[in-house]
Amino acid sequence: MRPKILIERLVLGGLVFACLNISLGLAACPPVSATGALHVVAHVIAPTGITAVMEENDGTRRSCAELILPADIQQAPTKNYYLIRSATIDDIVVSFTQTDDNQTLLSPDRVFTCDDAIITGPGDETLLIKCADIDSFPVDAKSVTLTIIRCDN
Amino acid sequence: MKHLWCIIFLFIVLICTADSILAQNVTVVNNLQFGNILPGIPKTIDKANAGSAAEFYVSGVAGSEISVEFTLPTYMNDAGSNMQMVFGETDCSIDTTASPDQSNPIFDDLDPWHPLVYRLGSNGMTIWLGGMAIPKLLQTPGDYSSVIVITVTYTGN
Repeated sequence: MRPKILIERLVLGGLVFACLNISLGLAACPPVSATGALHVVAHVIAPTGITAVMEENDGTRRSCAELILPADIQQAPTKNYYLIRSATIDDIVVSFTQTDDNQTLLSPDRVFTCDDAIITGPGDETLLIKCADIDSFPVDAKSVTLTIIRCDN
Repeated sequence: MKHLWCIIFLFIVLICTADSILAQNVTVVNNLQFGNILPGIPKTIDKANAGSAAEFYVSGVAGSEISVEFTLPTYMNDAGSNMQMVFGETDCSIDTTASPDQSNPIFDDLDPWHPLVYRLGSNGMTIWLGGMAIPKLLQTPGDYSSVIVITVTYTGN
């Protein structure tokens, strides 16, 4: 066999081998992967004064800022009373979380059930809530979180 | 010599088509955004919450089976402060129809902690992911963030 033909056949054989490898590789698997990355972002805000939070029946909690329309809370002239205006709240449970200036927890969450809270108000528009145990609620606490939980009844 | 050129041509065609056959792409459509969070108050973003839930779009060859895997964070960070995150076993959904519907996807309540294997539709695949942030009662205020990585792989099926 002449050298030229020998080289030509060797090259030919090599290319056939390479083609077979690629074909088999394509069919057999070589999963090609792609990646993507996204960010998770959240902004934790410092509670100042009294912050109202509503918890829905399904456990979803919404901050006061998201409750501009369904509910509005403000400190009543009497220090132990809070006015909550809502057209949707029928009955409520109130809990207080109290912290001092250094965000130190002064007392654990205390939950006032519907029976504990005194709820009065003209119709559905305004509810007046009074802490059942007013001595346990230091009104001079720097940060108070008030959680309003809608009852099922 | 004639055969040699034919083989070379075939070789080049195979190389060129190999990438295009298996090419796919993952596009981030929306970050997972919790917005404002109050210390001590967990906040959940549902996967159906448009604009807040994470959303990925996967393109590729229609009908091809792919495996989707997430690398999920357990905390968000801000200058040394951590805030816990939870991804539940039903926090993911996928739609492979031509008109993906986030509120009513064809594959709902999927577990993002395990590989999800589905076929790409004619319009690719859209993936949504929700989650929950759990700030501590004394969580330091600030902007917290983390990264979710998604890896999409052709299974060859």
